[in-house]
Amino acid sequence: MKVVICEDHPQQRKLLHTIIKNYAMMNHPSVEIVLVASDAEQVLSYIENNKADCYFLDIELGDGSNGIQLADAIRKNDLLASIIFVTNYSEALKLTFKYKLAALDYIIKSSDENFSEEIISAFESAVERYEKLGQTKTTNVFQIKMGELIKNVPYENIYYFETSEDFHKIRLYEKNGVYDFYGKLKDIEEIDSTFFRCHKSCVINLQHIIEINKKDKYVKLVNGAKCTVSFRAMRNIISKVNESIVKIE
Amino acid sequence: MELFILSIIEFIILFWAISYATQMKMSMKRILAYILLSMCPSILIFQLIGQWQGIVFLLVSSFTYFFWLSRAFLTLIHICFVLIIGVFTDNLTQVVMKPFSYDALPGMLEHYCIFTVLFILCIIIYKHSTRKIYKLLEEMKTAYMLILFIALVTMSTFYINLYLTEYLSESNLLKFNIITQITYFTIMLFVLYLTIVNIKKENHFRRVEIETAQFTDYMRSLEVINNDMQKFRHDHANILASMQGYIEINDFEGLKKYFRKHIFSAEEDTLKRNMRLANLSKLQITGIKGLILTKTLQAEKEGITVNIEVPDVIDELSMNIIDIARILGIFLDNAIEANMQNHTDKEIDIAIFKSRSNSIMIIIENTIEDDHSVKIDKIFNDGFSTKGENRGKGLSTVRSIMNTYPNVVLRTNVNNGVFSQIIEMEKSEGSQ
Repeated sequence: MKVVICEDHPQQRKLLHTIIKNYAMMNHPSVEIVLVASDAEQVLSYIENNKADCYFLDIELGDGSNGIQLADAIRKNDLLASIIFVTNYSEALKLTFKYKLAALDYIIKSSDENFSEEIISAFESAVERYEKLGQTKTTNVFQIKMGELIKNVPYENIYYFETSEDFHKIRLYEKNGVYDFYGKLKDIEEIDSTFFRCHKSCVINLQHIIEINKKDKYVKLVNGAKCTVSFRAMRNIISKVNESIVKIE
Repeated sequence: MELFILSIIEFIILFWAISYATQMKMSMKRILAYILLSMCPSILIFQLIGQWQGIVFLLVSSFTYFFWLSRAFLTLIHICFVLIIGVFTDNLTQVVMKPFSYDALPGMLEHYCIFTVLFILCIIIYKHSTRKIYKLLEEMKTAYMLILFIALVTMSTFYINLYLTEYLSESNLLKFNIITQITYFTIMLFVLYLTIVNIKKENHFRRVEIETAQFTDYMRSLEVINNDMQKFRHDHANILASMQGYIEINDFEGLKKYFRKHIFSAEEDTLKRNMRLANLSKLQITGIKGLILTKTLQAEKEGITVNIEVPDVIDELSMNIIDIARILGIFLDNAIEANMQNHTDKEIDIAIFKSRSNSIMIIIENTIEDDHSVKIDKIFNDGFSTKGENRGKGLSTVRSIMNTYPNVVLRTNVNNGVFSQIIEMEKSEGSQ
């Protein structure tokens, strides 16, 4: 994994560099620090021809430039790199980092022990992320893009998808959220056998069915949601669920 | 006799089509009443007086009867369209019949079979394709009136063309056709003019509404600021009086302490407020700005920390200001309310920025006690509320507003003690 550090303040630059170098040497020998820059220009010229996997950026770079614009430039070239902000500004732009720049973390500068611990934990999560990206993509997650932040929703957390009243919006209901996105239900039912089209406006996750009501033509899911089942789907659905778990009326 | 049976069949089909399109429950009593009041007399008139008189009676009596049953304008619109579809399919049937020259069935039967099938098909298509449109128009009386007017005029033109032309000679027919077409065209122009006038009015209304809303927002913010000023002046006088006291008795240690404690903290508050205003300076939509400021001050009164991030200049949104203000108002109220139940860190974060794909993101996050306190998939249901009866109108309103915008999506999420509402607006053509 290649790391870039950018910090205009010489002492802090040295401190950052030392913390990461020492920690990486002991724990992740394959990590190399490819650039320790004092201003945004150096980083920009580096990324023109090279790539790095992890960037530690100071937000308040002297000479009028700032780390957010730099991060923006990095993101233009590279959607996957981990970006970690370092700032002495306590009112950090938390949400902007998260959703606009998909920053992994931000650390507020302080002189105490905490600072190096935070740097190390952010570095650790960057390494972890790098290794995950290296492996073949996990296939059992559904990806939702919110700004630049990519949210991976594991299939087993998904209850159901439904089309909203009109337009081409689909609404996904899962354990921790409800998300709108643009798409077609037809493509959703094909991604995994656990998803079943029970109605023209609904795709349910078969794992979460707890009750099938043949009379009133609906299925009930773990979270209490009821989805209408069309006449044709009703015949298929019963053969697809485990009858010892699901209550069929 | 054959004609009699055929007209009975036609009546049955017509009756089915109307009740199907209007979704009225039809009891035996109602059917009988219709046969007695509308069908029988019109058949009699049809046989004894003349074709078109019978048709006119049938139409008028059907209109009155069904309107009396449902008391809804929509019923009239449905009937008009059913009749228009009737004329249309009748013509279509003749076109379809042209290539079939063999006589499989006696007389007009073939024609009627094909007609029936086509008619039923068209009615089903009509009902399914227009359901959503009528739903959209639910609130708008004027739109209903316009549609009804257009449908009535179109239907009359169709029927006049069908039935009255039989009474005319070749040369008169041409004149008659020109007259009906010109009349029809003029009426349509008139309708178009009305529509345009209406749209203009609506827009004007909207603008006034927006301005009023903004004005009230401003008034509120000004009030809050004014109260703050009052408080500050009051404190200020007190502080000076206390300092005077310390000086009088030469207690410099006490004065130092006092100075640090009271004056510095007051300054810090001012700094913080300026910071927030600076953060909002890139948001150049006054209505939204006022709203956020008002709600922020309200939240701080409750002891909630509010962070606002507007890193990019935002000068227009592809959503109606009133709508987005309503949505943000609901979200912020909910965030404030959720925080009131918290005992530890009370925090609301608001961010508005342009994403890489140039859509605008508005994010509101607030801390919650624990993740299970939010029933994520139920909060949008009408009337659902964790706070008892007569509440929970908020989020269902949000959803119904959202549904009118094809370019806006909402994502709601709970994660590690943070509840987030994320709105993403794509740039759309013809945005306001």
